[in-house]
Amino acid sequence: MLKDIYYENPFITYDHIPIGICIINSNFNIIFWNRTLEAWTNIQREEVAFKNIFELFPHLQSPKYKARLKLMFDGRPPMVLSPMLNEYFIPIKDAEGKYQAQTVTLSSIPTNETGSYNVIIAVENVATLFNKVQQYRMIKNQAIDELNRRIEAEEKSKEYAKKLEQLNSTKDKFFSIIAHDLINPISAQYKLVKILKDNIEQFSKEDIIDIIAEIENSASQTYKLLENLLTWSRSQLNRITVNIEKHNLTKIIEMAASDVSSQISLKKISFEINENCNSTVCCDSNLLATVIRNLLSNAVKFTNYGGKISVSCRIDDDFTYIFIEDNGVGMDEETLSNLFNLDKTQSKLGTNKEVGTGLGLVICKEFVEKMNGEISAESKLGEGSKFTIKLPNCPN
Amino acid sequence: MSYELTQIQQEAILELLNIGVNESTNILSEILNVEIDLAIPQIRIITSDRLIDELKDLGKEDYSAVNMEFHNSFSGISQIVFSQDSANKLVDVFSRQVLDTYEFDEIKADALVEIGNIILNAILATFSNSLNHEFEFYVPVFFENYKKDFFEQRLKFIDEVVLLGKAIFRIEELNISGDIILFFNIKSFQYFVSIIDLYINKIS
Repeated sequence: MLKDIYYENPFITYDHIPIGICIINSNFNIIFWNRTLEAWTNIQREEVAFKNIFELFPHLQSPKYKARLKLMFDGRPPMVLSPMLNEYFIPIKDAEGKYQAQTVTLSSIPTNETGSYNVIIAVENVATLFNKVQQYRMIKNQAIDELNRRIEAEEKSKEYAKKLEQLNSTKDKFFSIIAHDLINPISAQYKLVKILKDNIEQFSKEDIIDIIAEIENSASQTYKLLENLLTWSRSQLNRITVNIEKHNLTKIIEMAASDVSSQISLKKISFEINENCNSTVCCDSNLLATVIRNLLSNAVKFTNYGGKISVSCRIDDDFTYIFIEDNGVGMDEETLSNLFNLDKTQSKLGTNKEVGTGLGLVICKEFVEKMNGEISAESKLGEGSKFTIKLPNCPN
Repeated sequence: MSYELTQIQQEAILELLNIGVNESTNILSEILNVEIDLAIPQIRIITSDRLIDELKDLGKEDYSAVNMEFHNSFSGISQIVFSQDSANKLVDVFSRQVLDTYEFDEIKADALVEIGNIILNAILATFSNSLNHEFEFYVPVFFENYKKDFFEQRLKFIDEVVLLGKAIFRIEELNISGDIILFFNIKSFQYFVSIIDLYINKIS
C-alpha cells in the first residue's frame, strides 16, 4: 500500500515539495535525498544513500560549511547560508554548466535517541531570482552612475556660469572704476593745473602752495587707486605667486604701517602695535603687507581727527589672528554685510573727504584666501570697526 | 507589575548574551574570514511600546531585522535590528563587495539573514545550554521594513516585555551598531527570570 511507504519513511513527504531536501545523521551520512534534489542534480537517492556527505561533496570540508554542519548536531537553532556569502552547498548546475545560486537552511531534528540529532539540509534554488537581482542591480548601478555623471556635469556647468558671471561683474567693476573713480580725480587735477597755468599771476604764493598740495593729494590718491587696480587685475589673472613661509609678524605690520604713517600723523591719530604681535606668522609677506596696508588705510580714512587705531594679535595652536581696530565712524549692517562683495561694494568718502573704490577690501579678501586664511569684520555705527585676519599656522 | 531586574540578574543575562556573541564572532571570523569584534556592553528591560523611543531614528528611517522565534516552557522572539545604512555596510564588509551596489536589495537581505542568524543562533544556543532548557527553534525570518511589518503589528501585544541590548560591531576599522532584542510575554519573562535565578544559584 502506498500509505504504508509513508509510515515506513516519513521523510518521503519531502519528495512533494519544490525544495531540495537532504537529511544527514550524526556520522554525516546521507539518510534521505528527495526527488527535487534528484531532478536538480541528476544524482539518484540510491547513489548517495548512507554515503558520507564530505566524501561525496569534498568542498563541504571547508570550515565555512563543516563548522556549521558540526554545530547542528548539538541541537542548535537553524542556520542559514546565503548565496552572497557562500558558493553552492549541494552542486546544482544550470544548462551552461554553472553552479546555481542557492539559499540553504540547516535545521536540527531530534532522533529517537536522547540528545541525538539529524540535520535537514533544505536547499532553495534562488538562481533565477539571484540572476534577476544581479541584472537589476547592474542596470540600477549603471543608471545611478549615469545620473551622477549628469549631476556632476550640471554642477560643472553651473560653476562655469557662476565664473562667467563673476568675470562679467569684474569687467563691469573695472569699467566703473575707470569711468568714475579714475577720471574724476584726473579731471580735477587737470582743471586745477589749467586754472593755475592760466591765472598764475592772480594767485598769491600761499594760494599756489594750497593748489599744488590739493593736486599732490589727488595725485597720491590716484596713484594708490592705480596701484590697487593693478594688483587686483594681476590677482584676477592669477599672475600673483604666493610663497607661504614663516615671517616676523611685527616687521610686516610695521612695513605696512610706514606707508600710511603720514596720513596717521596728518589726522593726529594715536596708533599702536600691541606687543602680542611679536611673533612669527605663516604667510606670503608681500600679500599680508598689502592686506594690512589696505586695512590700516581704511581705518585712517574712517577715523576722526585725534582718533585711535590699534593692531593686536592672538596666536593659538592652529591659527594666528591679527586684529585691526579703530574708534572711527563705523558702518551700518548693510554696508558691513556687503563689505567684501565686489558687486555690491560702494566707496564712501572718508572723514577728511578721502576717496576710494571699495576695491581694497576685495583685494584683502582675495589675498587672505590665497594664504588659506579668512577675513571678517565687526562694526558699530559711530563706535568704530574691527577687522580680523585669521591665518593657519605653519605645520611644525 | 515591575519588570526591573536585580543587578546580579542583569549581569547574568549580560554574561550569557556576551558568551553567545563571542561564540558568534568566532564562527563569523572562521567561516567568513573577517576579523570581527562584537560586544553587548549593557542591557535594558522595557515594555514593547517604549521600544520606538529606544531605537534611535526608528521613526525617521527604516530598520531591517532578522527574527528567530524560540518555544518551550517559555517562549519569545529574538531579533537583531539594523538601520538600513548599518545593514548595508555590514553586508558589504562581509561580502567584500564594498560599493557593489548603492541600495539594500534582496541578495543583500539574504546575506544579512545569514549574519544575523549566526549571532542569534549562538545567543539562543548559549541560553539553551547554560539554562539547561531545550527549545523548539524556527527558521529565521527577515523584515525589510521593521517598523511597518513587525513593530507596529507587535504593539498590539501590550503585555510584552522587551530585553534590549546594543550590539557594537568593530570590523576592519568600521564601527557598526545593531540592537539585539528579546521579546517575551509577561508570563514567559517571569519564567525566564526564575531560571536565570536558578542559573545564578548554580554558578555562585
